[in-house]
Amino acid sequence: MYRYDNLDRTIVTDRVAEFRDQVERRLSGTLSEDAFKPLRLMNGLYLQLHAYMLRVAIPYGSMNAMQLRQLAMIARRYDRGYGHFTTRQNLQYNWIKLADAPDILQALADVDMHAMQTSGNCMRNITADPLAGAAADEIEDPRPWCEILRQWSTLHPELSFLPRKFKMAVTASDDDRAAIRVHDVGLQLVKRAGAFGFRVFIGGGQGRTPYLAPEIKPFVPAEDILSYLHAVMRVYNAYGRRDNIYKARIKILVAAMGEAAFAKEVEQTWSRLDRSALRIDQHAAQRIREAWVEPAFETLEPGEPPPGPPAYRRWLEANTASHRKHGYRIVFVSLKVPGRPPGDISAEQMEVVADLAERFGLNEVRATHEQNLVLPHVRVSDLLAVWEMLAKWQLATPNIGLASDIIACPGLDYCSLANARSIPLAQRLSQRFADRGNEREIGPLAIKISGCINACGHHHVGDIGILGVDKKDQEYYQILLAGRPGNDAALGRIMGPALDADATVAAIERIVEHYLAQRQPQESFAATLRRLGPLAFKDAIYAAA
Amino acid sequence: MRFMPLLSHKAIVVDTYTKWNGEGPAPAGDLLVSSRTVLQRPEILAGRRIGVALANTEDALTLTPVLRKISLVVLVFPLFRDGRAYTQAAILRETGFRGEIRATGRVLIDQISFMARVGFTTFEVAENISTAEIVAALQRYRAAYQTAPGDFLPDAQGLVDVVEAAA
Repeated sequence: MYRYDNLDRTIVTDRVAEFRDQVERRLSGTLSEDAFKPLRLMNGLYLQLHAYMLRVAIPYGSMNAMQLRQLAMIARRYDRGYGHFTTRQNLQYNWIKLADAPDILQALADVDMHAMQTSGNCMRNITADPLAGAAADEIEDPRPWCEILRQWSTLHPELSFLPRKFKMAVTASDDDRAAIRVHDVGLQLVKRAGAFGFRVFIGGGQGRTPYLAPEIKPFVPAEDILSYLHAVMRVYNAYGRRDNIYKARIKILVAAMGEAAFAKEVEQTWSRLDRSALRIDQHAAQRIREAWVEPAFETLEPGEPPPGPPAYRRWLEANTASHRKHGYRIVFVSLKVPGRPPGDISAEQMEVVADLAERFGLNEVRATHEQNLVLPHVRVSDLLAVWEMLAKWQLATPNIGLASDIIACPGLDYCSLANARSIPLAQRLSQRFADRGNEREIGPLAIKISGCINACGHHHVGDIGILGVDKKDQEYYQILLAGRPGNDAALGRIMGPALDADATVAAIERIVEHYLAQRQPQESFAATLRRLGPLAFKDAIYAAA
Repeated sequence: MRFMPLLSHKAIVVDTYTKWNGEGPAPAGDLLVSSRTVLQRPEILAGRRIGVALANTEDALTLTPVLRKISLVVLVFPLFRDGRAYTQAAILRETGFRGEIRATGRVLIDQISFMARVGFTTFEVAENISTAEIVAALQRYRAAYQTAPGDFLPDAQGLVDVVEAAA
């Protein structure tokens, strides 16, 4: 993991002092709310329906035990004792007082964290494969590159007042767990003739107008990635629309110009830049390497997990994955307790996960865009002990990738943009699957719920996507089928008219029953959908309507 | 018309330029003109200082032919959230412009350090903003991740001298 050096500490310290001054000016009335709004947004502070919400950056989803403990402390002292992990690997506090915000930012700075650029029309926190550095299938840990991208894009004047927000995702695996094709820029680290470089996808996104990002450049030498991206940002900054916020994302620009014309414009801009100034030279790479703490892996023999009760064996199967090192496994910490808001975690639970990371996990924790946590490096021989502790704290629901592992945005319970509530629907659905007890039989199934068209709940890329809409002041839900993030990414198809919450829950159940009736042996939900086509499920959805 | 002081890093600056629309004979003295005027009537560059006002939709590279001959480029921030002038300033510095780059429009104290880092040297600010506040804003950050156009990055020590002299 990256460890701050003096440069990082100086910058976050100065940032906290600046924000403290801005908050003081706001509280004394020198600064109007209008003038203050963009300043607080740049520090991750939103005004929600009931209170301020603070979004803390967890760069590329990586943190250590000390940081997670500090997040617990903040939840306890400044919020209501819990936090919420988002679909962008960040943590949100929902009940913040403005006057406390500078102290919270200081508490974050104390453990090398910040909330910069988690909102506003700027380069947002960069997301990455949550299994980076642990997955057996990656070519190299992409996080040192992510850290370079983070530093380059932090408090960069040219990247801070863009036409609209800008999200980047990075993976180093052919099995894309970072959903790079639904981001403004998606990067895949690849190796060609012994040299590292990036495949660059530009112009994907969800929201009102979903697009899968086309591949704009198949290989940019890794050391030149900053100058290439700088060219991309200059083209976007110059030509991105500023007259209509719904048309301001880079995906609209790429679609309007056409991939080829956009790529050519970027090349032209790139050719005029002084690439050497932005080249990731030995010096820059050295600075990151020196600050990077590699986990202290032991040399272990491959081995079997210790024996244990059936619930533990069930958890082993559902919530752990193979590791690139012999004798280790990746452990998923489920934040999807049936009937509870997806992604919520109490201060006590954060401390439990922090303790486990320290004792059994080489001091690393990851946040996933599916709103769960990961202990990426657990010794196989410690799995029973880890499970026992997780189970005691309701963190071991064996449902990773299954029907009750539902992604949901905060929705109308918190968010001023939402049309409908997401969390109660997720709670009802997860409870329903838990009651039936057939999740394991159903197999992999991604249900994703957004409370409005902004698609924070990734409904476009769920096997089953659910979109909250407002129909004559009532909460209604549209159902989409057959979306996929990842390598063979696809956008879900809207199945028909929206339904109310009761009818939506019933329709989802019928979709799953129809799948179970129609599937061939070993065939997943997604594969059955592909074979039959989404329309084959339409009758099931609207059977009772 | 509201008085808008023009501040550099260190002091209030006197604006010597007169706006001219490019029609008829050029008046005497330093002139502030459009990019079109300076490109179409290069003869005005002789015997006086020329400043060019660029709209934020213009490509800063259009000034390349006259870059060594003009003394000032005026850029505009029409809205807080419109950052195109940051890139224009950066491009002017990258292409070798060494004169004054002036920020106009919505020039807020909380943006001034960003502006300085891409090469702005003077700031047309609201009258209630003092030189001391500008200096404080420029000193807010002791470091940055990005390499700035070095010559134009405010020299922290120089600024401390100003503050102490003023105190």
